[in-house]
Order: sequence, then C-alpha cells, then structure tokens
Amino acid sequence: MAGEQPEPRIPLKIEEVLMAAAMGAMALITAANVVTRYLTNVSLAFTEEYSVVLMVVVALLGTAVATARGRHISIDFFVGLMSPRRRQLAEAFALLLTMLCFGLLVVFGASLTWDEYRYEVLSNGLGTPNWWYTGWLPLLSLVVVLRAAGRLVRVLKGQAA
Amino acid sequence: MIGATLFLGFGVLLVAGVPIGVALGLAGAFCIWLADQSIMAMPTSVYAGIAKYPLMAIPMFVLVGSVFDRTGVALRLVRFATALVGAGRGALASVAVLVAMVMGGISGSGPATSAAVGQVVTRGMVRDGYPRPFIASTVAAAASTDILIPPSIAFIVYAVMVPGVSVPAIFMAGMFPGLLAGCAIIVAVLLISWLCDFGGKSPDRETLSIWRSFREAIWGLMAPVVILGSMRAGFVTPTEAAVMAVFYGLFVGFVVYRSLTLRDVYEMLVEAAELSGIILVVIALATVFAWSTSTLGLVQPVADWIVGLDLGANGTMALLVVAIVVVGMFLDGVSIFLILLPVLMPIARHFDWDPTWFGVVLTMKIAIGQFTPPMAVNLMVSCRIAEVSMESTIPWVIWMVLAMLVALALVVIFPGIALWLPGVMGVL
Amino acid sequence: QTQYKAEYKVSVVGNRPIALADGAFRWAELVTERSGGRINMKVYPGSQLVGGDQTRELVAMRQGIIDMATFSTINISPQVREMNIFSLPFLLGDARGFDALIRGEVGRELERVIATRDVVPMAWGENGFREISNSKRPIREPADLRGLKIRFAAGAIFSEIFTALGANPVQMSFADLQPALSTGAVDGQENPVNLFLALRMDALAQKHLTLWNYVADAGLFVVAKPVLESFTPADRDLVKACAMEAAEAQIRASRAGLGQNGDRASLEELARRGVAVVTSTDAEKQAFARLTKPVYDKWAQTVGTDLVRRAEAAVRAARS
Ligand code: NA
Ligand code: NA
Repeated sequence: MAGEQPEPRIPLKIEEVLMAAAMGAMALITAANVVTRYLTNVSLAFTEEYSVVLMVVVALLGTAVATARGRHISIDFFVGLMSPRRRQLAEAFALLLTMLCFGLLVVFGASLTWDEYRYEVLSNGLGTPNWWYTGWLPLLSLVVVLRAAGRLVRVLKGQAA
Repeated sequence: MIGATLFLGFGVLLVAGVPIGVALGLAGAFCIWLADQSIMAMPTSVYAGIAKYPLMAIPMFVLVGSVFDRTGVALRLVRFATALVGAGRGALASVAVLVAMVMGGISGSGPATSAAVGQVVTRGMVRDGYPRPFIASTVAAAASTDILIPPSIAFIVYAVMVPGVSVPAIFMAGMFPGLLAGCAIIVAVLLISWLCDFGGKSPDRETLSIWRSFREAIWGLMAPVVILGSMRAGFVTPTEAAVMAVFYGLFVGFVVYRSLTLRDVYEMLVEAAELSGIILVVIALATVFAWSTSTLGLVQPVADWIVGLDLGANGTMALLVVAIVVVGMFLDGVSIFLILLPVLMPIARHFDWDPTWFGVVLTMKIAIGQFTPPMAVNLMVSCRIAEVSMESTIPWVIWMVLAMLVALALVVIFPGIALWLPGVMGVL
Repeated sequence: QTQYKAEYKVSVVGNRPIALADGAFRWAELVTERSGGRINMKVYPGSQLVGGDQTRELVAMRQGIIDMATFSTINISPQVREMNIFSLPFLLGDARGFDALIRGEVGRELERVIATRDVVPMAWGENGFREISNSKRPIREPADLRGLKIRFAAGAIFSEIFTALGANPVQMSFADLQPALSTGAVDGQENPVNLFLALRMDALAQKHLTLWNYVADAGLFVVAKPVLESFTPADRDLVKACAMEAAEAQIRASRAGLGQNGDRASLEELARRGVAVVTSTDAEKQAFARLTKPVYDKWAQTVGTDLVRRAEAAVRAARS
C-alpha cells in the first residue's frame, strides 16, 4: 500500500483530474437520464453510449494510477514471506509483466482501432465511428505502461516499498 | 498440454505476487498464441469485456461507498446504536457488527467497510475493555457481510456472468442470508464477551440521548432504503439507484451534517475512480483468460471431473464449501467469480441448483474466506487498524467463522431464506 | 490446400432453442457429421468469442478470431449499410415479401456486397419478423407508443424509427435486455415471436404483444474467406449444402406456429401464458408507416436508392 512513498516525477494529478471528470460525468449523465425520464418527454437514453465509453476511460486511468502506487489486487502472502531483497525483485518482475501485458494492448489495441477505422464500423446506438471509442484502449494502455516503467525505476532505486 | 500451461502459468504468476489482472491477461494471451489463434481476440475481449451497460453499476456503487465514507455516517450510526444498546458486556461489540451491517447496506465491498467501521469503533472498544485482537476479529467478521447485504459488487459480477440471474433478484436474495450471517456473528460475539467479561468498563462514558442520536443517524439508516426502494419500485436500474444514492449522500454530507467540502467531492471521485479501475481491469483481463479456457475446451472437463467424483449433491456442496472458503482467504469475490464461475455453473446445472440461490451460497463462502486466518482480506485491514498481528486473532475469530458456517448451513438446507424475498418482490 | 484446423469456431448470438442459434448448431452438426469429422465446427453461442457484443462478429471474422458465423443481419448493419434494407420500416410485410428479397436479385446483390467484406455467404436463413411487446398497454396505433421506453439491438435506424413513433428508444446488448425488462428500466422490446417465447418474456412483465411485422431480421450463414479457400472444392460444396439445409430448417422454425398452414401453436402458447396479442390490420400498419416514412426515405439513400426500388418491386410482385 502507498501513502509514505514519494510521488512520481510526472504528477499523477493529470490522470486523477481526468478520471475524476470522467467519473463525475458518468454520474451526471445517469442522473440526467432519470430526471428527464420522469419529469419530461425528452429522452437522453442515447447518452448511455457515452457513459459506457467513460467507464472504459475510468477503468484504464484508474489502472494507471493504481499501477504507479502499487495498489492492484494481488496475492502478497507468499511474497511477504521473502527477504526484502527478494521482495524487491518480485515487484520488479510483476512490473515488467504489467508492462508486457499492457504493451500487448497498446500494439493490438491500435490494430483493432485501425481495423474499425478502415472497415468503417459505426457504433450501435448513435452510429458514431467506433474507433473514436476503441481508440482509448491503446492510448490509455500506453499510459499504464509508462506508469509501470516509472514505478519499476523507483523500485529498483529502492524508493518504492 | 496448453491447458496445463494456462493454469500452471496463472498459478505461478499469482503466487509470485503479480497483479491478478495481469496474470489472467498474460496467461490468456500466451495460450491464444500457443494454440495458434488470432491474438486480436485479446484487445477485443478486453474492450468488449468492460464496455457493458450493467457493469456501470460497479463504479457507481464504489462511488456511493466513497461518498458515505466521508460524510461521517458510520460515526453517527455508532453513537445511535450505542445509545440504543447501552454499555454492558459485549454491547459495544454488537454495535460494531450492527453498524457494519448497515454500512453493508450502503457500500458494496468488504475491505472498505472493514476500514470504515474499524476506524470508528476501535478506540472506543479498547477503552471499554475489549482486547485488540478480539476487536479486529469482530470488525473483520462483521464487514464480511457487506458482500451479502445489497448492494454488492460481487453480486453484480455474478448476475452479469450468469444467464437467468438479474441484479435485483440476487440483491434481494442476499438480504436475509446477510442479516442471518450478521446475527450469527452477534451471537458469537456476545457469547465470547459474556464468558470472557469483555466490555462495559469504560470510565468516561458520555450519556447519549437516543432521540438526538437517532435524528442524526436516521440519514444513514435511510440510505439502504433509498437504494433498494428505488430499485424495488422499478423506477430505476441498479446503476441509476446507485447514482440516486450518491446524490442522497452528497445532500446528507453538505446540507444535513455539513461535513463535506467541494475538495471532498473531488477526492471521492478520484478515490472511486481508482478503486473502480482496480476492479474493472481485472474483469477486462479475465475476459481474455475466459476466452482461452473456453476455446481450449478446458471448462467442461474440470466440471465433469468434479461431478464425476460422485459425491452427490451434499458431498459436492461440502467440497465447494472447503474449496471456496480457502480461495476466499486469498482473493476477493469478484476475482473468484471471474476465475471459477465457468467451472462452477455447469456443476450447479448438473445438480439443478437454482442459480440465484447458488450465487448467494457461493458469496457466503467467499465472505467466510475473507476473515478466515491465516490469510484474509478483511482481517488484514482490521488488524492493521487495531495494530495487532493476524495470528493473535485466531482464538477469537475462529468462533465467528463457525457461527457464519452455521448460517451458511441454514441457507443451504433452507433455500427459502435466500429465495423468499425476491419471490414476493416479483424479481426472481 | 493448407492443413485443416482442429476446430472451426462458429459464432452466433443467443443460444438454443432460439431459431437463429439452433440454425448455427444444426449447420455445425451436419458439417461435422458428413465430413466424418474432417471439418470440426464448434458453436460458441451468446457471441462469447467477442465478449458478448454481437455487433463485433463481422470485424472479428475479418481478424481471424472467428471462422464461421450465423449473423443476424441487424447486427452487421452498422458496418454493411446495405443490410439496413431488412430494417426499412414496413417494406417487407410478410414471409412472401421476405422470400422475394432473399431468393431474388436483391439477395444476390446483398451477397456480392457481403463478399467484399472478406466473408463468403453460404445461405440465407431467418431470425423472424420483429414484433413489439411492452408491459404497459396494447399497441394499436402510434399514440399507444408515446413515451414508452423501447429497447433496440443495434443500428441508428431503430433509434430514428422509434423516435418518429413518439417512443423513447434505448440501445442495449442482448445480454442486458433481461435485467432491464425485469427492473422496468425499459417498458418494451422488439424481437421475433420464437425468441419472445424461448426467453419467457411474459415472465418479464411483457404482457402486450403486437404483431405488426415492421421489420424482418434475416439470418446469414457465412464463412471467412481464407477459411473457405483452405477447403477442397468438394468440402466447400459440403459446407454450403449443409448451410442451406440448416437455413431451411431455421426459416421453418422461425415461422412455426404463427398461423401459417393452420399451425397456431405459438399463438396458443402466448394465450396460455396470458399475453394479450394484437394483430395489426393493414390500415393500422399504414398509420405507423406514414409516421416512419421520413426515416424510410432517409435510410433508403443509405442503403442505395436503386437497390431499394428493386426490392420494392420484388415485394409488390410477390404479395399481389
Ligand atoms: Na453491501
Ligand atoms: Na444475468
């Protein structure tokens, strides 16, 4: 868990502001749907398409922040039994794999976005070009990779516990 | 062969402390590559795995938890419950359990409640003569009811994964088993307190007016009513019910308690977004793992093997109790469902178990695992707050585990405890 | 020829006993059996290969994730705009109009279009005409639809149709539909009758059903081009013949019990379950069609005006 660790050099505030905005927008869109449905004849149901994309954005930005702080769900029981040196190596290993996993999502997510662009895929509800939505996957996965790399450097320097 | 690689690789990564999402995603992607399938299944599964409307209930209920965490509802609930129950042996311990249950009716995941309740009751309980390991045990056991008493994020994931189970149905089905589990824990806590003379020793007890503390606590007590009531009436979807609760919580925090600032709103959005990200990314990457297990045809053989053990319905259920409780010590409910449901559902179908009831029973087992030593998510949090080691809790927490196992046995023997409420509510 | 794969993945939305999914299973069983296991087709129902999002099936086929599929044409319409022809409101009318389209030159044209997307059509099947149900009231005229929240599967055309009729359209995947109905988040939905019965929508408060045949949903049996090219000519014929046989059975199943040839089994089952069924008269359909005319005209241009004129002529000829 975090708290006492030094913050990364590129402040997490960037992701935090964006994901707070996305989270707030999701809540407001949903609330607006309920209010308009019961009080007016206007339907905002189409906005649900945006909410779902905002959720994907929140998921990946939240992942980036949690990666930088080492807060992801993992079994730390066995690692906890190791010596400090080994624990450090274990975390470096985990971060390398995190970079690999999200690196794959950068590359093949970009490929998916490209396919949706050239096949002219439209969204189900509003008929918007779908790559506007899917494109967030490779883009924000790249943010996760960079955050993992930053933490890896800090772990190897012995700054992050 | 590839199947063995998948499970072995995943297991090794997990034990090595790799984040569970990464372990799931990489094991899945590696096997897609080994089996010579299109790797494009990976990004497609990840995106389609979370871009689902019903999953939006997860970030919204996480946000509800963050909002009520900051309003100071827990503290006011403790004061009201204390005013009500008095200050005898075991009284404050029962208060802790009751408050955790009400908080469970607001928030959707155990460790958060464990932290919220632990922070509020620990100091008072220490002064009242409870040993710290006992306090940590009580808080962890009580907080485990959180994933049973609606709302529950584990239930949302279950309903999304299992056809024929809706979120409102399993929410309602979890209500009485959750209350029953809470009562079982209260019985255990009271018995221990009476036998060991815990509680009722605080020298500086402030006398609380029941009426005054009730007027403050009623706002928190109403939150579960807002959430379930709006869903029951069919006005709104679970996601919308969560958002209603968020605005209700903000109203209470800003207008009634005046405990919130705009800065708090920003911070709770950030906190909820990070926590949602941590949960959702596991769901997204588990979809890759599920793609591999399903296309490699690994699921059915494992289910067939378990059924083939020929233990009968009761024997199989007993086996599942042991297995899931053990897994529950290491992992949270959402992760367990994502990994094990593909194998567990064919077993449930074989024995013709009702899927909604089965979901509740599984969740009870997971809840037990979350405060069963030597390793348990909720217990870890409450031990940190009470500043004790996890081993020191064993003499106390073991009785609470037993109590909740009794509650589980009752729900297994009498499925009506779970299914009656959704039945009369007409959501089953 | 390259070596055959150990397994060919077939994707379909929904599961048995829905006619559309049943067609996919039947196709796979026929091919696997008649090829002596040489071509081993395995069906993955519920669009599970694409995370449950059925509209991703076509792209996934072009990426090699899926080898074969039984599409509902609605789900590929956002990518193959000509397929919206089945969704032009009140164009087809009934089974005769539908058959005129898929058996005639319009069908051939649509096959050519889909072939340019790297998938080879094998046979036309049918998911069925889509009928509207809701929990609130019988729908006889457009005014009855006012303010109702209606779920649709995919495609901006549906959003426009229901907006024109005064309803509130909500797009939702098939997987989300059941919880949405049971919580009352939406009032109604539109699907073929065989699907309404199989999914027990009557138990989800859908007490009113109007048979208005406003659009049809075709089934389309397809094989990814590289996969088909890897087969011997004899095996290609085999896969196609089995697809046509499964498609015939699918069409029969989707039309069964709706009154054709005196078979009223489905209608009787609806009555037994307490569903109030309204069968729209021609005059009533006219009233709906008048309101949706602007949507029809707009989307006719998207589909291709020429193709739509030919379709109209074919339908007129078949129904007169
Ligand atoms: Na809860
Ligand atoms: Na479900």
